[in-house]
This record gives sequence, structure tokens and C-alpha cells, in this order.
Amino acid sequence: MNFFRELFSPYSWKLAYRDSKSQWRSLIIYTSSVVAGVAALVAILSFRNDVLLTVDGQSRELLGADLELRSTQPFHEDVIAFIDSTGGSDATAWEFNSMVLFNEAGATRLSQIRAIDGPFPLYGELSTEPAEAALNYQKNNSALVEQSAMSQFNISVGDTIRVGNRNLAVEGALLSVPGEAAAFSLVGPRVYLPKSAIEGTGLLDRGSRVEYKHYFQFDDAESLIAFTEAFRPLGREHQVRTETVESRIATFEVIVNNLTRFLGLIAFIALLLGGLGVGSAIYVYIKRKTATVATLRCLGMTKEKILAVFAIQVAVLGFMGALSGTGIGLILQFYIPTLFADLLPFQIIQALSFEAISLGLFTGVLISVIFSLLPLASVSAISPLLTLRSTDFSPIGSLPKKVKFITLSISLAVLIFIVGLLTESYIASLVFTLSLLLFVLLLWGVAAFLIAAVKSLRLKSFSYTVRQGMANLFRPNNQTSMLMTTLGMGMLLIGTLYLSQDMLLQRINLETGDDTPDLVFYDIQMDQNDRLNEIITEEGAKVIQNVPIVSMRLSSRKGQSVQEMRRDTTVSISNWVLSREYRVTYREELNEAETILRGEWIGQAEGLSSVIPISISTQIEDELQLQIGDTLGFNVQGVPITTTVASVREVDFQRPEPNFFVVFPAGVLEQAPQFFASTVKTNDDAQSARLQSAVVNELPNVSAIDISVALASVREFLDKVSMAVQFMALFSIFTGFIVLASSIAISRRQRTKESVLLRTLGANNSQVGSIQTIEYALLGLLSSLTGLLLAIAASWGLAYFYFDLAFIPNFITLTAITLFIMLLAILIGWSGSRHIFKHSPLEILRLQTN
Amino acid sequence: MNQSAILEVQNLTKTFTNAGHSLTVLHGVSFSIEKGITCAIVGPSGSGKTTLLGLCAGLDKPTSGSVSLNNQKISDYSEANLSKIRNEQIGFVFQSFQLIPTLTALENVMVPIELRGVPYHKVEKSALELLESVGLKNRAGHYPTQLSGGEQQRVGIARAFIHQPEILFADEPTGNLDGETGAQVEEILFNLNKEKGTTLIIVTHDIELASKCDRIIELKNGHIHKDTYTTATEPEAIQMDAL
Repeated sequence: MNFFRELFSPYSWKLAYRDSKSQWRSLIIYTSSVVAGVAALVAILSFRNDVLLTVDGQSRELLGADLELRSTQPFHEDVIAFIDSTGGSDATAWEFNSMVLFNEAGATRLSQIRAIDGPFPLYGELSTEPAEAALNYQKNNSALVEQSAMSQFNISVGDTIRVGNRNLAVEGALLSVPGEAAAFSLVGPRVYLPKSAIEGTGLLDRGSRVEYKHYFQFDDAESLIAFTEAFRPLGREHQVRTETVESRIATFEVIVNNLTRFLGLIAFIALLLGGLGVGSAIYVYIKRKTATVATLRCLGMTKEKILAVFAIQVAVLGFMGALSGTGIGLILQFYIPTLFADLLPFQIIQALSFEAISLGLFTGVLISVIFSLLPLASVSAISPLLTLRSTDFSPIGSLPKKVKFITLSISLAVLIFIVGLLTESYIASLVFTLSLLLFVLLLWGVAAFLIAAVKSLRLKSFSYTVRQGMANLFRPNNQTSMLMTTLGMGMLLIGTLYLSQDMLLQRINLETGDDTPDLVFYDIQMDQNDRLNEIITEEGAKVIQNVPIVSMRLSSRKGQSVQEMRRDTTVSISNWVLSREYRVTYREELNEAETILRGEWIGQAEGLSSVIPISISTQIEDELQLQIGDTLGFNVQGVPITTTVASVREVDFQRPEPNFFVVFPAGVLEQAPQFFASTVKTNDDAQSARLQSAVVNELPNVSAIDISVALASVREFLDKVSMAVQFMALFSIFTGFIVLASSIAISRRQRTKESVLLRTLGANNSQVGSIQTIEYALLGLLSSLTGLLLAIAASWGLAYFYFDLAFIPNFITLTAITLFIMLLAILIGWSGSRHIFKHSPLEILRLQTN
Repeated sequence: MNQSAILEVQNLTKTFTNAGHSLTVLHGVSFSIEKGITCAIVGPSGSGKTTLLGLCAGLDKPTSGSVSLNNQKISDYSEANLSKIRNEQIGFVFQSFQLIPTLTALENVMVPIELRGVPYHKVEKSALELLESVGLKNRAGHYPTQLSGGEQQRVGIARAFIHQPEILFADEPTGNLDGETGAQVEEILFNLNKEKGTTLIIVTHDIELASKCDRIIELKNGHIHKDTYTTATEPEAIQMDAL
């Protein structure tokens, strides 16, 4: 209680001010480690606020209508009748993927076709070049083509494209679609056509996956609610989904909240590292103040008052650090949207967020204080006796275990509370905080190992400057371990992100070989299969696989119908797995991507009349909660069949070939309506382009995926997503460098003394400079290694246990990153050490008496 | 310059200026020190002892006047040349020992020679011999924090002699030590100095220590107050500024 009384005593504040007056610059540097973390946190929280604010202002544009009805089947006549009875829809669309031939360029590309009838979007507008193209394309029976595709294939307005067997003039370039992010085009260029242009092309009759949509506009919310309430039973019966502005916003908000929480936690890591930096600096500060504290205690000042004075200094300076961080965060707020430019479906409206500012300030101060608790508590261990006996006193070492335990417990509890505020889940907070502490301890361990290695490596064969540079890492009150941990955490984050992304690309970018396909054709109808294979052979390419595919729907599981399961509240099975259209194949053998985990693979069956032994993937096993021997009923386009689970397969879906959740044995589905997919190996890009053009010309409904183009899209998407994450992770590196600057400020006097002494003993400036440079370069190297060693270990584990991949990290890039960190460490080190040459060697004589 | 003098100070003045205020610490001081003698510079606090030591050792530049060491006018030298002179011809013993905390006792002793670029293995043997002569061979691998004050100063003395300097400046070498330890350190310092034939200049408050020197220069208010030879053989000429 005395402590709290002292904390609010005006005299304590006066004393805190007087004491800090002469050293406020140093004190600010000590607490500045939280700046980067607070800045990152404020920026990301402000960004979240901006996105939600924008969604609020442009909610209808997000959907383009008040209501959307959609189905993967043409709308049932009952549904059409219902729509007509309410006055009909305002616009309709068919959306599907199809090959588009860019006639002038002679190139083909799998594109996202949107065949529109009516004034879609009902809210907002398509942005096109020229602007009037959006208004004219339906009237002129022409097309709008994604800007990026037009640039890539050098297409101009007036050129023609071929979709199915229909040629259409290009009306204009499509720049943006309300409610859709630019990254949508990575799947394939978007092409808008009038619906009338598609009718009669045969594209929709040939097994394409089409999404049929109707859009509605309502005068008021009541009409919308009345419509959706009345439509619900019909929609459920005919599997027509409804999407309102509210449901789209809710989905969007969940995504934004999850994304910003995730990025907020990465920002919080920077803040936590900053806290460690502050704690370490305050410890050294208090250790230096030992003699003063002992004197004050001799003069009769209570330890509660001394503690209150230091606590006031830490809190006020922590607040100043948090305030600077908040200011920088508000500036960064304007940059964050550019990171997500292609991933957001609208231009962000920006505003100051009171919530972000107050949370940034609050967490910044709290983190500064809780990480300083242990060093502050150590003030109570400083005895007045120390005025008489000058020893190398360790304040924290002298604290009773009980005090240490209580202080650390309070710190941990406050940390969990702060993370809980950010994640809105205390379980997530507990897991995150403890995992983070585990990683900090791991980093600390790796740092200790590396430090021991450097100590033992101080070989006699090294020159004096090298050995002295190495030795400087261990000077009294050094913060080497702290620096290696904070900078190392940044490197761990960046390194793991980079290595995982690299691994993911390695995983899908399989080595080229004779049997590695580079082109996949699908939606091949039965009567087209032989001809397609002929075209492939005529063009000189090689068919690797030709796979039959049969569409069916699940009708029952373990004797219970799908309808019963939906009604049964005791069954918790995802709706998608019950209602999806299963596309299955049949064959006698397993392929290279499959491994039997349970049961027995049966490749041949006795026709439809028997119970058919099928093989399911592990995903279906989990989702449908199945065991070997369980029965599944399927409806094969009107024909009911009963199957039994004979085996469970682990399937590598990453391979560029068709793979299936469910595989039937041969001898059952041969006569069922089916279509085919073929994987093809071509000799070069030119042959691939010729083959795709030939197929589009003769079999326009057949779609092709060029694997190299798909890989480039995946790479681009990963780059876009990882850039934002890497940007946030960079703040941990910034924090590491602030801690470095802080530790240099703390050791300023020691460095000056060392430099002056060496020069007195005859060292020239170049030798003193070399020693400093070696010290900073080593700090950068060791910090980088601390993080990267753990990142490589984590990535190796991921590769070995999860991806089943022989992972070889890109050592050239890792070396370049390490060299960059070393260079930065040297630059920051020198920017804080230039003063060492300004002092005359004479000071060594004066320092003696200080 | 006197033929037998190693150090010659002529009309040395040092004025410090701070915020427009000037303070002259040394006023036209002149004297010379003969090679091989031991000389104490004594005087009350603020008399200019440390300033004089700094100027004589090439750690600072005079406002006027000159300092010559071994016939080299070091007061005109650049800092780079002074570093070389300090490294080759001058040794230092400090009141607060001034050991490098991150180096072992042996490594501390080796620093002046290693700074010349001489490899570790070539200097290790002579450094160990010096540590043995100050009674610390068994503590060669210890860090300064693991040594007592007296032991640290003995390492400091070994470091001061490792490069066989021609002149050694000691600033209150026993000032931070208790009487008994101080006496041991004094003995080691004087014995080694005699053995190596080095000129020793000691700045001290300690009259007893000063009395063990061949010559005592007493400073007062930046002037030489008294210059006394304690031994029988006085040099041919004594230069003293007028008081």
C-alpha cells in the first residue's frame, strides 16, 4: 500500500523528474523498443477499422444487388415460377470457365465467362475502358475482356475473341467489378458477355460447371426479408443458395477480422520483443543506479518511494514510446491498403480510429511496465550496506524466489489479458502467449549455444582486432543474448515465411520429366475423347493419362438418407460433403499419388447389381466419419447404387493430374454417362499453344489448364498474400534494430572508455574502428543465424513430416538476407558509436576518478 | 635539449576554455627528465599534475610551449603519429587499473604488442614471463572481475612493460589500493623499472611513494613550486621556472 501512496505522491513525481532531467535522452532510447510494435499494431487496427468503415459505406456494391440466388443446376421450374410470381429478377448471369481464343493473337486462355442479362451490377458499375463499353456490350452483342489479358495478348477494342463457336468483338477493357478483388483475375481473365451470345453455342450442354445466378433489387428491407423468408423452403429443396448484402458483409467481416487478428498478432510479437528490450535496458539502468539507490536508502528514503520514482520514469517514458509508435502507426495506416490493393474488392476509405489509437497507447505503456516489473522489483533488493561495500551487485539475482515468481506471474497474466483483448479469445491468447514464450526460450537457447561457440572460437590465430571484436560481445552488462533473441525472432518469422513459401512452390512445381504433364484437358465428352486424343497425337504431344469421370450425388450413409441426416441434430456432418456433386473415376490400379492406409484396394467389381467396393480419400473418411465396411449410397444421374468402403487412401492432391475423393473399381461405371480429362506432355511452349488452339477450334467446350500459367498464378497469389505478412514481420526486425540502438546507447560510456584506453595504449583509429565493425557484424550474423537456424529446423520439420519432401533451403537467398542484416547492424552500430573518436585519450586519466 | 634527457618540457602552458571562460591550468612550465631516473610529480588537487602528465605522454596538445620525447617534438605530432609513439615508447599504469574487462589477464598484457600486428603466439611467451615476474602466472586465464584490486594493478604493470617502453607514466598507481597491497605494487613497479632500465614518472599524492623516487617535482597552481633530487648524484643542470 505504501508503494501506491508513494506512486501518487507529488514528491515522487518531482524526484522522478529531477533524476531523469539530465538523462532523459538515454531513458527515451531505453523505452523506444516498443515504438515499432505499437506502430505496427496501430496501423493494422486502423486498417481493420478502415475496411469495416468502407464496407459499411459500400455494402450494396459488395454484392451488386440486394439479393442473389445461385445454383449449380439450371433453376427448377418451381423456382422460376416463384421468381416470376414476385415480379421476376432484375438481372441474371451464367458463370463458368471456358477456353477463349484471342483471334488476333492466335492465343488461348482458360477464362472466367460471365454471361449477363440485364443491368448487372444493380449497385455500382463495371469500370471499363472506354467507360461506355460497360453500357454497350449487351446491346452490341460484344465482350468486355480483362485489362491484363488484353495487354498480355496485345488485344485492342474492335479485335475479336472466340468463345465456343461464336466470335465476338471486344467492346472494351474490363478494369474492375464491384465487390470483386483484382486478384480474381489470377484464376483466369474475366470476360463479360451478353447471355444471348452464349445461347446456342453448346458450351453449357457439354458438362461445364456452370453457376446460374439471379439478381434482385428491392425497394425496402421488408420486401427483401419477406422474399427470402418465403423462398427459403424452396431454395433448400432445389439447392438454390441465397446471398443478401448482410450475409455477404458478415462473411467479409469474418475474413477481415481473421486476417487483421492474424496480422495483429504478428505486430504484437514485435511489441513483445520491444518489451523484452525495454526490460533489459531498464535492468542495466537500475544496475547502474545501484550506488545512488544505496546512498538514498542510507539517507533514509524508503524503498517504496525509490520504487515509485523508477516506476514513474518507466511509465512516463513508456507512454512517450507508445505515443511515438502510435504517430508512426497512423502514418503507416495510409500505406497498409497498398499491400492489399489486389485482394480487396474496393478502394479503402481512411479515417482516424479512436479504438486503434487508445489500444496502441494502452498496450504500449502496459508492455513497457510489465516487462520492467522484475528489474523494478529488484530495487527493493538494493541494500544501504552497498554504500560501504562496493561489489558487483546483481539486483535480480538478489531477489527472493517468491518475489520473482509473483512478479513473473503478474507479467504473464497481463500479457494473456492484452492478447485476449486483441484476439477476443482467452484460450487463443493462452496458447499464443505460451507458444511465443516457448519460441523466445528456444531462441534464447540457440543464442546461448552460438555465444558459447563464439567464445570457444576466439582462436589464437585470429588477429587482435578480430579477437577483441568477438570479446566485446561479452562485455559486462552486455545485451548480446537479448539482441540475438529480438532480432532472431524477426529473422525466424521472415525466414519461416520465406522458406514455407519456397517449399510450397517446390511442392507444386514438380521436376520436369518425361511423364510430368504440362497441360490438362477436361470437360471432354464421351464422343469427343477419341478425337481429342487424335489431335494431341497429331500435334506431336504425348497423352500421359486419359481419365473417365462420372458425376453422382450422395444419397445415403450407413443406411441413413442425406435428407434424414440433415434433419438429424445428433449428426454433425458438414453440408458441403452431403450436397456436393461427386466426380469419381473408375480403374483397376492405384496411381502414383495414392497410398492405401486402411482396408484393401479392390480394382474389379461385378457390375451394378452387387455391393460395390469403393476407395475413399482420408478427407471423405473424416468428413463423413466412415470406417472400413460402412455403406454409402450414390445417385448416378438417376440410377441408385450401393457401395461399401473397401479402402481408405491418402491422396496427394498437389500433383498436376486428376485425383479423386472416391474411386470405383472397373466393371461398374463403364456404361454410365461420363466425360474425360487428359493430362498431356508437350515438347515446348509453342507446341502447347498450337495444341490448345487446335482443340479450341475443333472442340470449343473442352477446357485446358496450362500448368506453367497456373503455377505463375499461384506464385503471384502467394507473393501478394505473403507480402502483407512479411511486411508485418519486418516490424520485429525493426524492433531488433531499435534494441540494438538502445543497447549501444546503454554501453556508450563503456565503449568510450574502451576506445580511449586502446588509443592510449597506441591503437590507431582504424584498429579501434575495425574492432567496433567486427563486433556489430558478428551481432548481425549471430542474430540472423539464431532466427534462421530455427526457421530452417521448422521448415525442415514441415517438409519432412507434412509435405513429405526432401527440403533444400535456398542458401544463396538466406546468405544474402544474413549479409543484409549484418550490414544494417554495422550501419546502426556506427550511427550510435561515432562519438568514440571525438574523445581525447587524455580522458582515460580523468575517467579514473569518475 | 639536454643530451641525457629523455623528456624535455619547455614553457608549457595549457588553458581550457568552457562557455567563454578560460582557465589556465599550467603556466609556462619547463623542465627536463633524465633517462633512467624515477621522478614523482606531486601537488595538491587542481595543481595541474594530471594535465602535465597528459601533455608529457602525448595524450593532449599544449596551448603553447613544447614537449620533446627522445628528441622528438611530440607536441607538434598528429594523433596518428602520437598513437605510434605511445605504442612504441611509452608505458602507462593507471590508478583504476584500466584493464579490458572482456580479455583475460594474459590477453590484457599482450594488447600493446598485438596492436602492432604481432601474432599471438609470438608475444604469448614474453607476456607469461612478465606475469610470472609480477607473481600472476597462475592467474593468466582469469578475467579482471575474477582478480583483486592488487592483482589487477599487477596485470596493469605487466602490460605497461610488455613492449619495453623507454618511459613509463604512472598515475596514482597505488591510489585505489590498501596500504599493504599498495606497498607490494610499489615494490613490483620499482623492481621491474630498475630491471628494464625504464624512465618512470609517477603522479601521486603519496609523499612516501614520492620519496622513493630519484626526483620530486612539486606543482602548485600550475607552476613548479619545487624540484628536488632525493639521491646523492644531482644532474648537471636543473631547470626550474621562476615562481
